[in-house]
Amino acid sequence: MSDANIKVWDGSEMLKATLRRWDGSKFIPDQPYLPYRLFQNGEEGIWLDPSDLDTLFQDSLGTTPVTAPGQPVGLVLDKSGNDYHATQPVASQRPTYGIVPKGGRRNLLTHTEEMDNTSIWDRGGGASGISATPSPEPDVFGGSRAFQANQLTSDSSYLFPEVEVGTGPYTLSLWVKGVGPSIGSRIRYWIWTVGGSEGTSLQAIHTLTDEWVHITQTGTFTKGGKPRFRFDTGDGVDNIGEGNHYLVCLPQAEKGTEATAYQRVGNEYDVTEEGVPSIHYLSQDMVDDNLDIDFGKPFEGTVVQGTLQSVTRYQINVPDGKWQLSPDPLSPLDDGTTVSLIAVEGVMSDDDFDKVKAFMQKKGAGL
Amino acid sequence: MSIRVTLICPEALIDEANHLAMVLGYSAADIDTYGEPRWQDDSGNLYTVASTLVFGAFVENATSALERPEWDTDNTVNMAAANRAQSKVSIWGLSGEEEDDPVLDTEHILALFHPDPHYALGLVGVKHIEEEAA
Repeated sequence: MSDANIKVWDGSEMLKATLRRWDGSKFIPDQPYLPYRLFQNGEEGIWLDPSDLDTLFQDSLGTTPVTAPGQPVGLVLDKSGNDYHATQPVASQRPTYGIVPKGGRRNLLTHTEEMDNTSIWDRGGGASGISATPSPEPDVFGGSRAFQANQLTSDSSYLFPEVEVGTGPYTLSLWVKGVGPSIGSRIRYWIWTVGGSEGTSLQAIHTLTDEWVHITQTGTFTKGGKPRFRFDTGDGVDNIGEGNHYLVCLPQAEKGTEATAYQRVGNEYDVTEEGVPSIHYLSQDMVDDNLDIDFGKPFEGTVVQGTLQSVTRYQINVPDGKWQLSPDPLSPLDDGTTVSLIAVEGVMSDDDFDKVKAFMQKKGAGL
Repeated sequence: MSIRVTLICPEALIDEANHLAMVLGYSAADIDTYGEPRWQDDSGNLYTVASTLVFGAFVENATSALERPEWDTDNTVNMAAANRAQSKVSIWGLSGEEEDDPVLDTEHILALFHPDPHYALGLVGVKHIEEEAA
């Protein structure tokens, strides 16, 4: 029951008041809707909540907790109180725990704060190219380490990450800052996909300062491939000189013509954005991942499943009590993710469904 | 760091592939890694598919001499079968270089390293039977 806002006429003016429940000793403040209420009288059903890390384990026996995005999930504890935990004993069939900012992922890169990881961030160009080793200066920007871009005798150097983009307009951005002798130098920044000449690349000249500057470039790629962040020093702009360097960090590649706020991407399941709430979810690969739920008896009821795309309601009937949560590759509404899942025995009323749907949307279902 | 591998196992090799899965996995439950063959190629040959993220030394372990897992104290794993399966694994996508598209056949277990399992499956033209019927 929610608090009720009422108006009271005191004889001279209208007063606003709030009715609250009295439990005999104190007023009980209004509580946000929680699915506990569906099960408070021992009702049958399940409630899976991937945002509660205390309920996730990497193995089906519950010995190794899930602690980070990208880890497998072999056990999800049921929060309904019925102990119908969801399990997957087969290692290859376990879903993966992930987080993504509300609004979704835009940065197509991975390992965005590991530009010194050469197995992810390849580099090229003439002599030494950009080393992108972590800056020796204790320079941190936007929560990320800065990386040192050395350009020795080469006049063009580039970095390309271990991801591929398609054709069409893309925007590649990052932050740069001059250091010592490189301050005041002009560098040319341009982008293309590997296979370069097939893409339409755009370029612009930027002058390095002692402040961090966000540089962006949009190009229309006519051939998909690994996007390149290319920097020229020399060849019509300034040669920053052997032994000198500047700093780079917070790279982002995204579809479209606009550079949006930076999203940190560890791996495809680990995406965060400063100031934006994270949505926690389970990801099933739409190949063989699934979770088993054993009701121990016949179960016929309503399932409400919140995915990153939507909140859907459907009926299930499992005479043997064994239900498998597996994505439907033929359903356009099923993207293989689970932000929240609730099942109740029988038919869920529209009123309860509306509350559950609102609850799941607050958790980020439907983004 | 993790990497996704999608494994395509011909119907005739499912049993031995499951013994290999137990060696590389964590428990006897991994004998169910390769289930019913629900995928097929253009010639109608049937396959079962598994896809998972693998971590750390998986690739090295999968390609080195196999050892009976510590949990297998009652010889659940048929090591001979696991070794036969290992000898039939064909790896694609790990070299870091441009590679020709992988080729599916009924004699080998294809291990395709690519972040998108459906892209990997599309490369070899194998289709889910239910999707094909829809």
